[in-house]
Amino acid sequence: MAKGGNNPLAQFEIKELVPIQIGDINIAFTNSAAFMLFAVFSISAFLIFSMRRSTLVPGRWQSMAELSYEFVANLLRETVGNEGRKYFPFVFSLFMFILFGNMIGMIPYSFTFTSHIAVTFAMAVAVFLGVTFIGLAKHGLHFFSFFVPPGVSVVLWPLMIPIEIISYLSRPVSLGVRLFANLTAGHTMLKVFAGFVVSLGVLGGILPLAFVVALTGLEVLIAFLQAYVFTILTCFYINDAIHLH
Amino acid sequence: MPQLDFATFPTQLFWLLISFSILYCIIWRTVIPRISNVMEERQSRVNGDLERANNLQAEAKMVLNSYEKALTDGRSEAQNLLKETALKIAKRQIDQETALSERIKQMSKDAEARIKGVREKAMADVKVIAVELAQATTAKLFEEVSSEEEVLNVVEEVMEEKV
Repeated sequence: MAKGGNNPLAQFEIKELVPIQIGDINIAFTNSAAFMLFAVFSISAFLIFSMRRSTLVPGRWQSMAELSYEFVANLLRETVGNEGRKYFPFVFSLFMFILFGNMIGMIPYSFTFTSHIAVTFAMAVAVFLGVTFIGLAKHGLHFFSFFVPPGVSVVLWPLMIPIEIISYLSRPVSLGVRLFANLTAGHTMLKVFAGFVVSLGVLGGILPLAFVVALTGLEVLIAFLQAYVFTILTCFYINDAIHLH
Repeated sequence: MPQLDFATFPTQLFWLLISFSILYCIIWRTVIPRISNVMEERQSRVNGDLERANNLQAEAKMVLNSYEKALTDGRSEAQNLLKETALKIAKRQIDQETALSERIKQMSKDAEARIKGVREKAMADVKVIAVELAQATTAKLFEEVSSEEEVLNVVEEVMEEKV
């Protein structure tokens, strides 16, 4: 592949817009940061303006805001129960942030900040650490009984406990990598097929064009689905921390 | 792969922290209270409406019951009235019939009495006429006037025989 515009990985490049340096650390304002703030702005605008003149019988925008609220609230209630209410602001923010990051990324020439392992893994680690902290705060040392699977004979403990610990520690990895990999793969594939449209010309390009259209639909679905998956797994982890087994 | 360029990690993490914190504060402080208020209000409104509907339904049922009761009451009352009236009418009919037959009997009795009187009078008249006739006849035939008493006796004798 050629350099620059035709490189399917070029869309993931982080470009510095305003260089900022604190000590040795480069925290420049980049396109990634711009799209993160844009997502925050879009979410806030959507949720605040649609509820501005809230009525008892909701209009279209209000309905959508309430729908997203109830969607996440139901998710949390069904997996965790009533103890999960405390964590609703965080889970709702997480869902909206990932959803809007993914969806804004579907706009051509935009930047998908959720396709970066640094961002997804950071969110996954934050969830992991938060959940572990909740578990320790709630159950104290008894929390470590989580690594002992119930109904397993003592003989198997030396085998089972390391497995449980490894599976627990691999949670943030799978959570972060899943989102990153799905979005990176999807966007790369879109770019590759879009490149075929250009290189195959008017006649030959029709087939890849149709494919790109279909793939765009699929990617929109995946954008929603990955936000959903990230959120529901977070709910499961919260549930594990609160109820152990 | 630009994702694995570790030099970009600090800025990404920094801006992720900033933007997510802003989003969390906005959602926590502004969005959630607003939406949950509206939904709670709606829920309480729906519950109130449901309760009112239930009350109204119960009331309607009560009204229907009382209406049905009134209807059956009215019907049985009407039936009673009808029965009573029929009885009254029958009684009156019987009374009138007996009165009428009494009157008829009385009238026929009177009539009979009148007829008897007239007949007796007629008989007496016949007697007088017969006497006069007999007297006149005997006077013509025998040129002698028989006394009235004699003739009357004869006439009575003859009449006794005939009648």
